[in-house]
Amino acid sequence: MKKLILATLVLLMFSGLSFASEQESQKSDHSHGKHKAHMEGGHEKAHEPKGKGHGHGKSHDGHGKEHGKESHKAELGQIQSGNQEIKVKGMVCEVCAYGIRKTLKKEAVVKSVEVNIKDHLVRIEYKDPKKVLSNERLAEILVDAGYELDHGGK
Amino acid sequence: MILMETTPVQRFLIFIGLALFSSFSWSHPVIFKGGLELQGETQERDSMYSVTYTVHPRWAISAHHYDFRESLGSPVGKPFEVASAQVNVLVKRWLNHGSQGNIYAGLGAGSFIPQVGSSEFLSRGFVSMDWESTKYYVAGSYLLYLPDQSGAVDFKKLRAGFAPYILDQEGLNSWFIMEWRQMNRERAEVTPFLRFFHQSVLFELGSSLDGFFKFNFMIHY
Repeated sequence: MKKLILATLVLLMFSGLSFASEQESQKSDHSHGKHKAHMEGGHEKAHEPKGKGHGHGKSHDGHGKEHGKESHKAELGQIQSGNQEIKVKGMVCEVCAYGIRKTLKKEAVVKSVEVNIKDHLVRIEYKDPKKVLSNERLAEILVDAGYELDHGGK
Repeated sequence: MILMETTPVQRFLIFIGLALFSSFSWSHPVIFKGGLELQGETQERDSMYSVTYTVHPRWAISAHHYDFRESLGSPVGKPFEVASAQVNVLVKRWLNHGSQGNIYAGLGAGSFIPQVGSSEFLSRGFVSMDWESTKYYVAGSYLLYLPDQSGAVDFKKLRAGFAPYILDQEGLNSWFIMEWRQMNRERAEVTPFLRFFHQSVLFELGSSLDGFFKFNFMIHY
């Protein structure tokens, strides 16, 4: 019985390690291949938004018009001037999303961040609508928080 | 108990195996890079507090203190404390469109301090698994303390819960959670909890079916 338990644990241990290495190699492929093809700009730079074909999130050009917080709340998920809305895979609780919010708020170009757990959305309000975070930087922030952009979530 | 009957080598292998993989931990042993987590669980006879710093999205370091205050029900027959440090690893994470699943493991060492007698070197490890969506949550964990001379102490925990409502904006979230917890071969405790959280603060209030009040908290910085 003990031998069986030990054998099972060893098998499980190797399964776990192979899962981890598989995930690492997928991440590596993603960042050096397909992902890079969709990205623009450097890691650390904010960049000019270029409209709809801007990767996984939705960046929005606009007139830099200020909106009150209530207005943002009411229209979370809709396109607004100077705001970006991104869908985050696996973001299911507010405590877990705190890391995303905190890291985004540290970015110089970000004015405010709102999280919509129900729809797994993060809405970023920029100080200057012409200076937004690159998709590469956004992806990096999400990875550091333990998440990833949702490429095709419903 | 199997662990008590095994040789030191077998105990070590079981310990490593359980710690590196298996299927059960304490909640969120690895959070976001640079994140600090304070966590505590307290009830009538024992308390557990920890501070965890996430160095990398896949691993964290933590310091723990555990205090068992009674002789009755103690697996070593007397009150004891454990002070320890540990490395936590996110072994595997599944991110789905509306849910996520995680497997964590951890290994550490510290001091086992019985109320009577001298302190002992202690090894510790845990494995845990959880799955959650915006509406449902299940988790299981196994935590093991292996003092040098005293008998092993382990904790098994299973949890399941649901959210009666889901906010589409930020606000106070509430959950109903049912917990099953067992220490060594002691009688298992079943506790319904009410969980509340808002942004980075989470706390739970519960009362076991035996009438013991419980309070858990978790804060992220």
